[in-house]
Amino acid sequence: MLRKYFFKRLLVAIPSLVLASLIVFSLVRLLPGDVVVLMMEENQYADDIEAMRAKLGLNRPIYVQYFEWIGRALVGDLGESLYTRRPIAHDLLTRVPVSLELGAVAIFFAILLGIPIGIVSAIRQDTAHDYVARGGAILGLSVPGFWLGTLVVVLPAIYFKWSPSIQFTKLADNPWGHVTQFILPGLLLGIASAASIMRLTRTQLLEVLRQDYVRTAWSKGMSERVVVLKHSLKNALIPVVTVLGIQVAQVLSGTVIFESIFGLPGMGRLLFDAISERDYPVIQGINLVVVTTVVSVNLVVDVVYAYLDPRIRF
Amino acid sequence: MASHVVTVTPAGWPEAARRAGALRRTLTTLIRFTRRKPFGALGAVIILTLLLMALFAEWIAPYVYDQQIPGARLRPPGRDFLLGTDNVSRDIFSRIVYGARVTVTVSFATVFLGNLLAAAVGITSGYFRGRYDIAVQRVVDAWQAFPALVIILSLLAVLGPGMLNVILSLSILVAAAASRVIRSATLSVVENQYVEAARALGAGHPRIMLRHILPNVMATIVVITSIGLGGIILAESALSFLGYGVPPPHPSWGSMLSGSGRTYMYIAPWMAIWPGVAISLVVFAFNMLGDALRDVLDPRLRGSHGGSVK
Repeated sequence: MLRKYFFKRLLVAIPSLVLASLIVFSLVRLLPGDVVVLMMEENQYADDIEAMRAKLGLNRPIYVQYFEWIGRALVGDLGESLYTRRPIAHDLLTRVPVSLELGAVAIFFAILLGIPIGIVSAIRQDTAHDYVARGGAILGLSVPGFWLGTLVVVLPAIYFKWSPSIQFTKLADNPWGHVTQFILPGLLLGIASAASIMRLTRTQLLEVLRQDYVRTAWSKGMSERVVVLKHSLKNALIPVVTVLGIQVAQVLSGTVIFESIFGLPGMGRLLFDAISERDYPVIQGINLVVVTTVVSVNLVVDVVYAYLDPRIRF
Repeated sequence: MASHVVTVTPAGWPEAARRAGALRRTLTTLIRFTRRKPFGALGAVIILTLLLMALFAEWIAPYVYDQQIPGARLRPPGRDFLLGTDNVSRDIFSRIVYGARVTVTVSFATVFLGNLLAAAVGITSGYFRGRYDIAVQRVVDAWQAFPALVIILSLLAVLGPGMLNVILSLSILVAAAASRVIRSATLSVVENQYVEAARALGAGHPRIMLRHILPNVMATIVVITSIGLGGIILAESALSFLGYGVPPPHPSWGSMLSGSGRTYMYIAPWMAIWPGVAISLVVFAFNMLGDALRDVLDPRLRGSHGGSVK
């Protein structure tokens, strides 16, 4: 049954991915002509318009361009950067792990904060704890990450003469320093996701706590710990799994900002630099990698969801 | 039955009395909303302040946003300059007041354009269903697979910066998320008997969608609008922070935190603090109002958090 569901879900994911790749592909085709001229003159990417168009792959029939681009991408060839003239896939191999580490730390903190606070908020509904937690969650969704990042870099430097390092430490040079440098940006990046997870955990748990089988558990004289943690939480957390897919996209957005503020050489930083350099093949490559990641994560999340909750298989 | 009679104003009544009745009813609704949802009401007050700041910036701000005040470089907050001055001797309070204009313009224009598109896509998709619906939903899926900031930055890299381009690219993303919610609301409205009745009376598709479905999904649209606005403001400020938002000299709260000013923040922390406070406060207000409106207007949406773009 699960295998059947997986293939059904795959049939939905593939067209989405194809359409998304078409969106990525169309991006460069929206370039106004004067920008192409600008790229030639300002950045000296080519000698004349025709050479520039050839470099961007704009000089052939559009469907040929698409199939050639996607065909190469499938075997791991994303083209060459206009600025550095290096293969894009090669650069991404060193950049992607940095973003993945940052994203993993962020999701870790999001779960670590979101789920326990959500539980407390639900079992102490309408108490001071609940109000503080809910207010805090709305605040967490409201405060811009780039501002928090700025404050964390600026304020301690003024008042404590200390500031977080914005020099990247490689794993090979200093493993401890490498891991710890992700803690602060990861925590800040995870705050918004923690708030979403907290809110969902709370609503789901409240729903489950009202069900008959939970009342039965109470009436059997079980302790609160057992009722909440053993009987209710498992069912309440199933839908929380699905937001993880959404959070991955959110966290990937955040890497652009946090990698810039904390000087981490990840994919988000590469995108930001590519945009400043008008390096369109790199922009395309990153978008393709990012969108493939999100679609795959969502596929996995849905299948895990189906495994955890057999009711949703149809 | 008597209640029907009460609401009808006798024909002979003067116009003023009828208006006073309408005013009283509006006031009663507002007071009831404030009692039930105090935080939502607080949010509404903050939003009203924002709108007033944007509308009357010239009267509220003591200086013009790009005015360089001689001899007032990097002054701390105090009597002369409420929130201090920046590294080129501009009054930060005045810049925040004028910055409200950018915030309001971008967010309201985006939400209007985005919801217009979302309503068109969502209602037709939920109404016609079938192959059209499946095709449309796949396109929406594809758009939603992009992390917001990544695709918007890429779009702006191609289209070039500028307020109009920021609005256009943000609204496409808002539309994708909102169309989902409007579609599902439409799916349940279509099942109502009055839709069938309208069809039996010979109403065409456009008429049914505009006159019968749209008014009934309006509550949903209002809720996703107010929840979505906070996300749009965050996205706009993030874009401005990265340097791809509304270009200078217009002061945008996000851009006040970036650029050449960043090196001066270590000696003038007020430059780093106040614009961020403004963004957080306004987004907080929209989120609280959105939550309150959702509980009152459309409890079905509980647990969802609009097209949050961050």
